[in-house]
Amino acid sequence: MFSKIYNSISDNCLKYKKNVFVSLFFLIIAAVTSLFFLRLDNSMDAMIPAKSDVVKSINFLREADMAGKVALSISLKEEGSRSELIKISDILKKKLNSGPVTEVVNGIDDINLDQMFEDIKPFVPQTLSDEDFVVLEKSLDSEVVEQKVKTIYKRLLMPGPSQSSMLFADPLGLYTNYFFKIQTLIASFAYKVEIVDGHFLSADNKNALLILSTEAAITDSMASKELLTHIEAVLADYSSQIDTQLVCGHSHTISNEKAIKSDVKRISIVALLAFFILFAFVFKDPKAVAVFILPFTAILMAIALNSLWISSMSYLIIGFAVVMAGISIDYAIHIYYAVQKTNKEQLCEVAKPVIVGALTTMGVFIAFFFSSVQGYKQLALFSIVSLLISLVLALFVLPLLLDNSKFDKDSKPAAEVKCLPKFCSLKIGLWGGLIYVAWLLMGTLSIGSDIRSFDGSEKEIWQSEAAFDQIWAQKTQPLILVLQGKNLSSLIEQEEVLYKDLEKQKAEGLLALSYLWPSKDSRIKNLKRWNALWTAQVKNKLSQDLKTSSKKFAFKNGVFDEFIAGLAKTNLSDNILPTDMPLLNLLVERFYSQKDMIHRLIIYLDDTQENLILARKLILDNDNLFLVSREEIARTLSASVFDEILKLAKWALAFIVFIAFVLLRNIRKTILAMVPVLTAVMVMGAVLALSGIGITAITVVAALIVLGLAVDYGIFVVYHEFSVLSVVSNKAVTLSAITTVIGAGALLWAKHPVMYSIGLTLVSGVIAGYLSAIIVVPALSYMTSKK
Amino acid sequence: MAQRKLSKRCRGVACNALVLAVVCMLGLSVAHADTSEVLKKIESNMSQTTTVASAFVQKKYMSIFDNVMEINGHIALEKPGRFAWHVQKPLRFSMVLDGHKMKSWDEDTNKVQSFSMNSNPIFKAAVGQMRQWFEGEYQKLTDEYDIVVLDGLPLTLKFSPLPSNPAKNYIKNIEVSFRDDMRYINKIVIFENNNDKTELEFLASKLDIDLPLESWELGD
Repeated sequence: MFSKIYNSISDNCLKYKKNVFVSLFFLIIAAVTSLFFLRLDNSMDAMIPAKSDVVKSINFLREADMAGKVALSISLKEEGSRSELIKISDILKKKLNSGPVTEVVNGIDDINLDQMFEDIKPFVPQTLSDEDFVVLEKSLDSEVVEQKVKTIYKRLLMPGPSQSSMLFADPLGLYTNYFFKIQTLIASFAYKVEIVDGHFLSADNKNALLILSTEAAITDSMASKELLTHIEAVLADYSSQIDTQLVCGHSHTISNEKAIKSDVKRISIVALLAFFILFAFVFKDPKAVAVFILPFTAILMAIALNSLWISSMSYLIIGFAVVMAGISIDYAIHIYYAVQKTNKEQLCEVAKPVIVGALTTMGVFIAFFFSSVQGYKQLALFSIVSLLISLVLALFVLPLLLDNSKFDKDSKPAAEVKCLPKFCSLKIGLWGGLIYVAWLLMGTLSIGSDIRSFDGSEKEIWQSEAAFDQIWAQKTQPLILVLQGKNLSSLIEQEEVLYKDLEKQKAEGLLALSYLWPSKDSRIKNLKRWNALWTAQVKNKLSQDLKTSSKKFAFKNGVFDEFIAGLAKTNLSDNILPTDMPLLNLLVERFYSQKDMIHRLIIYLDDTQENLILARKLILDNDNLFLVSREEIARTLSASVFDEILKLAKWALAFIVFIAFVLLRNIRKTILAMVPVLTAVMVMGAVLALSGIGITAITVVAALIVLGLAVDYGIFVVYHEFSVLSVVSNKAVTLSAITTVIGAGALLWAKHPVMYSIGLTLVSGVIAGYLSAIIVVPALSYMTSKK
Repeated sequence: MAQRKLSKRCRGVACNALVLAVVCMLGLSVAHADTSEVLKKIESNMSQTTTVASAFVQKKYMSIFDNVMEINGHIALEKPGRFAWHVQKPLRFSMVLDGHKMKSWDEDTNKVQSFSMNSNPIFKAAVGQMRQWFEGEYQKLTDEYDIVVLDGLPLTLKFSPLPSNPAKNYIKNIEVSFRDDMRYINKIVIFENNNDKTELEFLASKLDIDLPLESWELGD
């Protein structure tokens, strides 16, 4: 049946050879033309499992305060004064604030403490916590009042100005306490800045910080380029005066794109060159160029076809195209040798394992459709289409291009090569040892990812960021708990509850808006409590106590009258967020964000194991709460990748075994065909463990492709062992392994860590699979058949 | 004839005015050059001083008091960054600064309190300022203050906070008087915006001596 169909198609292709070539020509033209309209993107998002927590965390980091911003640190090249540094900071602020930059902040307005005191006082009562009220009530005791007044007196014993207006405006420390709370919130900022002359300066006053806002998304490479070009043009005018460090996601975007583009160019050239040498010295037949060109033609057509239903293609997919070319050449190689060495009937026989080989590889990619990683699905579609086209071209077009003058001649099957028993035992023994050592090494294999391993930015960018962090970054980054929802009022109430819960459990480094800005209900309650506390009787007693104490320290009568009068002045803010509250309105951005009608409130905690446990418990009880921390992302990603591996491996293996069995129709032969698969898996695992790369969302893809290839070698060798096809298969298997290694090996020259890891996985797996196929499978076949 | 006399007189007045203007401008630039030179000289002389031990009297003229508040004590200074302030009267009180860390004690509580000035910006602004005056790095202060040399002896500089200086919110100006050898300060007078005044006078200062360990101790 198969022969009938195959021969019928071949005969028709031969009959309409001219039409076939013309159609192919136009298809190639169309494919090349479509490349000019192809949109490419270098976002790694598609390679991350779409598990909600990881995606939420990464999206949060992307949308977070600093994600769309640019941090610029400047310092004077030559020894200079602080005022010179501030002057340049102000000049740059004006010049940078144009084009793609929408705002530049290099400090905050000069703070007049006295005025601020007056502005804040009416708001403070509504912000007091239960604890604050308890302390306040205790401080109304006459002895405590005397102590407070004595403290003021002692303050006057210190050297320097008295600043008496502030001292006497707040004898009980009510409003000063609020200042300290704000101070604590400010200390939670990502950067350790000092406000000097209203400007952001480093602790040693030798560096100034500017924060630039932009609407350029960090995933938009065109907009990122425009942004950085603008900034660099402005900074160029001051390059002789200042050193700069720039930190932004945009530079990573551009650097990654640059790395991937340069890698794609480089590996294409390396691969093309290697293929050319191979074919020039091995085939020594000009028509063999067709073997080499057809797979690349298939890739081009696959890209063009994919662009019909995918709006933009990942650069990674393009990188994989070189690998696919190396794989697809296998089919053409087998057919080439078949055409040269066999007759028409035997060509049909070669077609069977070639088709099975293609099906097993495609079967691995079909498994990718069960994954939650969007990038896998994109890759699967592209790969299946390119493999199908390659197969069709190899089976039906390649024979038309080759010299088939010997085609109808009979060929004598080569004599079977028999293994000597001791060599077979040795081979199997060595193989067993290799598997055991690999198994041991795999014990150190890491699973999952640091997101940064996907980032192929240039060394200079990482160095610049390290230099920036040295000056500005807080020693440790906090854990971030994000509460999100559509209703801001209920979100604030929920945050208040969470805050109190965490406070009760003594969570370290706890900071949230609730710390200083309770929900409206709580604020109304606080104000009622405040008003209820300050009865005329209480005020009179306090006034009397203050007067008594003042006399003891020779203060004039009435120094605290203004304070007493101020107790009655209160303001209840109607706003959900403290946007009208002096000072606190500057901090809102740190604790609140909004995007697409979704509000987010942020709670900060010290990044400790205990806090992580507390946070995870809270997340279980609150659906709209999630944790953002590098460690948590890595852990979740690791778990997600592990889940993906299990899912994909299960399906891939099932397909491979099924298809192999369908062809070989024998359990023993099927098991033998799986030997290269086992070997490849073990060796890849050992190599990834030794290299430190580990199993990532990317190396999983490469590993599964290797399974599809390794089983091909197994199938061909088993086929060879049990059929009359001898010389043709071994040479073809060897050559197809070499071409795959060339295609994958080219990636070892890649600078981008993702491309490199793909190359390493493929090369180690393919070599291991191939060697075990031609050395171990025949030995095992012989040993098991003897029995 | 009268007209000619008048125009001659006018020319004379104009000439005198021009000369006066030129002299003033020259005077200003000379004064500016002088202040810079004076600061350099003071800083150079004070930089030779590495330790100071001195008695002091601090008088506070404040609207909250009917009378002047007088504080007696002694200081110890060891460059860079170490400063001790010990008050004997009216209340025993001690304060030791070492970098940004501060410890204080008083006879009333008899307890030593420690904290970082970085966590208290209000305190840091006031006390941190004073340390700058005591350590003598005045050239750096040109970024924050307008500095004028006052006439008369001893040499006295007047520091007025510039608009960008947060101290302007509570300080009108500061006058600093120096010893004849300009190796240390004699007196600091702080005039505050609310008309309060603080006078700090150093008595019998000893320079470059080995400071005893007790200088840095707090409490009894």
